[in-house]
Amino acid sequence: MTLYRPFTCEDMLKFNRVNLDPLTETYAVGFYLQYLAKWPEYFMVAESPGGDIMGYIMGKVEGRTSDDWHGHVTALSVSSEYRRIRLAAELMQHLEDVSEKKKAMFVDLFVRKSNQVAVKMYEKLGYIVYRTVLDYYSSPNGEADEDAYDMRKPTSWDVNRKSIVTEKKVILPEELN
Amino acid sequence: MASTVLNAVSERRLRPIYELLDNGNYKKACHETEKVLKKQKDLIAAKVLKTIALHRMGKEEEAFDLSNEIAMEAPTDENSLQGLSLYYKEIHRTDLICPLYENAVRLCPGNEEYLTHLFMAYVRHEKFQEMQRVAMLLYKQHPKNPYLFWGIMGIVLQAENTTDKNLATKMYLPLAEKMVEKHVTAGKIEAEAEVKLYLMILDLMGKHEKALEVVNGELGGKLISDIGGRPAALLEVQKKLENWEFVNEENKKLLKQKPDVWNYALDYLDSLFHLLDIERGSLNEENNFNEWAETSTRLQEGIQFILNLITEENALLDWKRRGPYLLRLEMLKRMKDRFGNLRDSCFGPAKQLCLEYALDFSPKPFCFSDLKPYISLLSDEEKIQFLAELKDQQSSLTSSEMNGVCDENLKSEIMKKKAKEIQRHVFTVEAARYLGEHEKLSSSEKFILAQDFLQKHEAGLKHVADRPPTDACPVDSYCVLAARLMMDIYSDTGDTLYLWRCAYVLEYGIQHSKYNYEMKLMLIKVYCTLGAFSPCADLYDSMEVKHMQQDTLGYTVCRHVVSLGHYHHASQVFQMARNFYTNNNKESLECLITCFRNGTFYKVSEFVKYRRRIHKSYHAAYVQTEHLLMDLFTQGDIDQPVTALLTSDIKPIDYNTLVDNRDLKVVSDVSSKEKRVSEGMIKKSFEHEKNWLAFRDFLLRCMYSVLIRDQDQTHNGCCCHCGPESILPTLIAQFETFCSTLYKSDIEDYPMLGPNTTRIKLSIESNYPRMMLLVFKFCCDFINLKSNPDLESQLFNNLTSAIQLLQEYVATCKGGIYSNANHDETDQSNESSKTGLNQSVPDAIININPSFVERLVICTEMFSICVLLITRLKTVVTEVKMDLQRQKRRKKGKQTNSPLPAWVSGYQSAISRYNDIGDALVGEVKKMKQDVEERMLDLGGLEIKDKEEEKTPA
Repeated sequence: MTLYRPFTCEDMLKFNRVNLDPLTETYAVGFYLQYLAKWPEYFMVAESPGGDIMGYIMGKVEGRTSDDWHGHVTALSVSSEYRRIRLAAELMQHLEDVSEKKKAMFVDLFVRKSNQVAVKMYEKLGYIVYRTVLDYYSSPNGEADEDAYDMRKPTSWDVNRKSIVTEKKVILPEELN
Repeated sequence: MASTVLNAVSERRLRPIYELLDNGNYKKACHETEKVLKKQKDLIAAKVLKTIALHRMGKEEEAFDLSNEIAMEAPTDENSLQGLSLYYKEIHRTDLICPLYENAVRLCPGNEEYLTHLFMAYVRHEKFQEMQRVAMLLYKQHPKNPYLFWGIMGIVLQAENTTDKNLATKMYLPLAEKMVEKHVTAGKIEAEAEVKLYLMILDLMGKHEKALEVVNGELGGKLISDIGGRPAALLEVQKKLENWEFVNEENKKLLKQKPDVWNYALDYLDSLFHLLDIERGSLNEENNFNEWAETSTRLQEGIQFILNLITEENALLDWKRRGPYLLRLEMLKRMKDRFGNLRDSCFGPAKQLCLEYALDFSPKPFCFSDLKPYISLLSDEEKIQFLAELKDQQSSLTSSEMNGVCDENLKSEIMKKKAKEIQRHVFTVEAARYLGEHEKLSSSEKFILAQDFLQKHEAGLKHVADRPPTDACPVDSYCVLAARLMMDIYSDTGDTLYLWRCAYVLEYGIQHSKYNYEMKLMLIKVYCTLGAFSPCADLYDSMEVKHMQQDTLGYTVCRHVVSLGHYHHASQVFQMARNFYTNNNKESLECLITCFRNGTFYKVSEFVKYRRRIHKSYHAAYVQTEHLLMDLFTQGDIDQPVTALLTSDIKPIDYNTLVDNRDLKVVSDVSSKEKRVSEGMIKKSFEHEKNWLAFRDFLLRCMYSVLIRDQDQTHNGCCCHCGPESILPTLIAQFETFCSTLYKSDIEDYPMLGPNTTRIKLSIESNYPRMMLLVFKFCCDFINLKSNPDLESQLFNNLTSAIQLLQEYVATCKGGIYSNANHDETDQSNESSKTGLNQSVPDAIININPSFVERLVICTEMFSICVLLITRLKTVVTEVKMDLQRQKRRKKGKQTNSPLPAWVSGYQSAISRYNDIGDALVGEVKKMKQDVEERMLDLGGLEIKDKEEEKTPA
């Protein structure tokens, strides 16, 4: 049982159990607030009946051309105790719905190549690996940087599923626009 | 009209300087600006760049003077204005941006961009009325919708923030409403944001009928982006209108589509019970009421609706959602709350429902938190039955151990199954603990149970071996539970042996699950209770606590890092936290502006509230005060002259508005009722924390006024009586009143995983506040001696008492770091169940007296502050000596050789007594080091061993 509601500033004071997860980054306050100020409908929190934050999704809509107009998943995280109940799928569905309304052609996201649990889940939700971005994730401890998968799923607006076709399957971070 | 753009020549000359500044080459940038200024001495934009360069070079005063000079010239070109704004932002003086653009707007009337900047400058300073004024000016000159709505939002903010509610309801809100409606009538509404602001105004005015018209009307069509879009907005308004019939029907439909959404469930139940209340309202008598509850069709229908949802969910084979089952429990709970035990039978007994829920969902880690609110539905007897049946249920589902080699696919299936079984068992144990079963055990039974958990942990490890290390691991719970049992034994017996064992369990657990933050947070608490901070620094770092988390989780280390004397580390964490507050202030302001730029009006009030909450955070005031204080007594006159540390201005703290942002729920709590962390406990602890802060703040202020007095005398040579020291007597009087309440604090111990024990406890034990009060009184008398010679006779009474108090407390450290407490290290279990818990805890640590370091630290702190203050008073003595010498010179030839006054020798003897205390303290520190080093030799490294190694005798 999950309560879905828009993320609010005060949720940052309560999201520790989600954010202390090693694969979840805690960003500077300004980062979250930018999203709240610009794309509030893309930032949603899932709360348990007891009032704990179970997880949240944060995203935006962007693109230079109408073909490139797309929803983007910036962060999706579910607290360890609320995993495997399809919560991430629900949150993704919400983001896709919002993107549909905004006439986005596709939804995309970046994920660590090593995060197999996440990659598999996105594949199940209909995302495909559009391309690999080399050394996208920098490691703080001097370990090797990690590649990212740029995953995409076309929306109903992309009738011919053009948005998932690319010639270049592997790119460098600087080639991202 | 003044020019707003630079000419091409100036532009070309400045361009390289921008680049230099961007590249961090400030010295060269400064030099280049000077060259440009030689050619064009009135080019303000160049002066602005020079200001920035100077500031970044560290020449702050020079930069600020130059910036004032520029501001006087009232620049109107874009480059200067933007550059100077940037500089003001860098020095955190965004208030100065307002007059800057006020001038620019005055000189360039109608300039859209400058008006916009001025508006934003007012946003930064919450000048709501000014915002309204500028926005309306903008709209008049440039009739664009956003400007009008900026102005309207400015009015709404005035309404929300005025203390005069009458003004809000009678003036501001009607005005805002009228402005929007005029625009609506003109057919000029364009964006969703505008409709939302309209609805927000109507909501604040309580005009829900009108809001309903808006949502249902043409404007409602613009409501698309939020969750649920227009229908959701409609439902919200209907809720406000208390149209329960509608709300109930709609949520029924929604629940049928999505039975796992708690929002729908809550709205469904709320509306249902409102409708039932209305039905019931006509009945007065109890009997009628009972009858009604038995026969009410509405209630019947409600129950049937939930039963249907359950039936549908039960029919699903592969995957059940928890929604309908929780809805059923919630319905039962509400019925019990309202109607007592009536109608209990409709869903079956609560115990049965809880058991069914456990059967379906206990392989999920959240199951227990889900059930917590409904356990209260059970009577004490039922609770016992529930536990017994739960255990039966659980054991019947446990399969035998997997043996031998098997097919890989099968193996992975078995592993999954095993992981579920482990989770199920953990659930049962948590329920038992929550219901107080562990409380009933004796210490040795607890110990045996903990051993059992550790064995289960070890046995379970192989079933979760294929998990990525970053994933949560169900067997970790066994270590957590074992650690909690060790904490239980410690709080029952007070024997630190069990805390060390607890530390062992957690270290062992973390070794197998290096990302488990719960164990790390628990371990930090354990080490700090044992008086050892060193390992906590790494533990804390490994959780990557940063940004916002410093405000909510900083409390876990920020108390002990100073009380255990880790000043270097304290300095780092305090500085990091202070940086966070500064950055947060800056970033959240800029984002507030983004809200206006993007038309996200409904977030503006939320941002404003959030900013205030962080601004008033207790932790912010705490780190600031502790840091300043710590710098004084650790560095003052040692690393740098104390006067250099007195630069920061201390802002007064408003204790009534301080907010507690500590996240005390980060570690899940499955303790029995007695040991559970309650809201009351958190509140009480917060009051103590505020008192502690007040104590530190008094220390700081009193110290400042003594120390600054000295600075004024030596640097300015005058104003003995007009300087800040004149506030000292007032401060002392306030401090005295405060102390008397402080000594009356009723202090209690919290559970191990509750709030930190207040430092007030030890400070009272050591007489720290009383001692400081005496010292400050002495300082005050000493300073005023010259103007009031009557003080001389009693001058040293206060100081003598203070010295005595300090000496007495230092004497309590004599026992050294090791105590001779008895520990019950006898084996508490048979050989077959030996785990790491049976290892003997080495002598080098087991007998450490956990309060020793904290006491020694408090002694050193008291001593350092006294010495700093007393030595500062030396200037008073020097002055007197100089006066005497002058007199001597004047009276040359005469035989009278006036001796030094008696109080000078009194001062000297006080200094020598402090010297003795200092020696004693150094002696204690040396002894502690030596004692520890000696015993460490026997230690040879304490390791967390595998079971196999332990069995072989060392």
